[in-house]
Amino acid sequence: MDPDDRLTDQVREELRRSLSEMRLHPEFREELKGRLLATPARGWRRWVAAWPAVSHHPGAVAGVALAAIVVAVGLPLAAVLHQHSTTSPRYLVTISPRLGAGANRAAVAAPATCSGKTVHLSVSPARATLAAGQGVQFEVTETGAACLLDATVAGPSAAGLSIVPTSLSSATPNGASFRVSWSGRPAATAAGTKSSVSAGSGPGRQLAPGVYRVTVSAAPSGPRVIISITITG
Amino acid sequence: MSSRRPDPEAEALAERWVGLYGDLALRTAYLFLRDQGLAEDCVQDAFVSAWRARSSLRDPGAERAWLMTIVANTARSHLRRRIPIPTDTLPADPSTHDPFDELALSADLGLALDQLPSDQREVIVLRVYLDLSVEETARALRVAEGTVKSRLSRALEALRLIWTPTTD
Repeated sequence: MDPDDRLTDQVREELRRSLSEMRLHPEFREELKGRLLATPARGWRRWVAAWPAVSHHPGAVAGVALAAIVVAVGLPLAAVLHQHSTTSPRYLVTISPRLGAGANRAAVAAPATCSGKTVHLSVSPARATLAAGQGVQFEVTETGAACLLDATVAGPSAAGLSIVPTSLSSATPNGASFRVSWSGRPAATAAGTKSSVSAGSGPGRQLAPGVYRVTVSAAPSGPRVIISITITG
Repeated sequence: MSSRRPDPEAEALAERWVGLYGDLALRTAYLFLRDQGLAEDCVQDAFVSAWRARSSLRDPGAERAWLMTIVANTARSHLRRRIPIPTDTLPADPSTHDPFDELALSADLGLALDQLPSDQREVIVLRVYLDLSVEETARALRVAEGTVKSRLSRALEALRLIWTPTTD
């Protein structure tokens, strides 16, 4: 066998072996399917192609179609977006890393403890941008020290979950309220409280007055939990 | 509130994509991004993009390569947007290295791949891990087939010097 082919096989085998345990979480799977089904396919090409004149003068017709789309869709859409941007502030939701070594990483290895031992919590997604009425689920996965299921994990609350307006010029978030819940638990804990983070703190980011920190105090029922956040105000 | 029922065909397709390709897409994205959370974000973005463009897939037999190409290109685009990690904040001592990074990929191969230039790493992911053909890899990376071959050859040459396969 050619040495390159042999090495190729070895690399392939090693990659496949070491990644074989990595799987999409069942809840993420369901969420992804739902997301796909809620996403319309791009239909305009088929619609334009179905117009008989296209087969004769495709360039001209496509130009007219494009202009029509700009006028019919673009202008109302721009108006809606403009209205949306002035009336509906958007919020950046993050669970911030606190570890020194991983502090600048997008993925989070947040410090947490379980029966006195340090465990790591990874949070996915690392961040999300939401408008009022929208929600997001953060999946928190526990790794590191083996943690008994009935032990109390002082976890995501220590990870510093924060909700800030994405634009300093957007409306003040004082009216927003937050709902945080644990998966598998009926209407669990949650409260949004205004923290006293001073403007300008945080790495490379100007935090606006009105940063919210949500404290979660429920113990997880297993090593993987879901935090749901919905901005209702 | 809309109560429109989803099209059964679309439901079956979503089920197939997520069931058949979801894990592979996650692992592929992870090889680019080295972060499971970002990889999941990437899978979601890629699948949604692919879903929107599904009518452009002419050959059903090419579905896997087509979808993985979208995943790979989405991951590359995520990488370009990613905020660079200042190197002075990274731990120099391997004993303090964040073990979180090495949960999925064996440490030595992971480190070896990290030492390759990104264009060679991309070819390893597409051509070796995903086993795409030279033609498919070239199309995914938008380069000539000869470029794929030469990049792969250089990548293997470099890997041979810095990585020893496990024998057990």
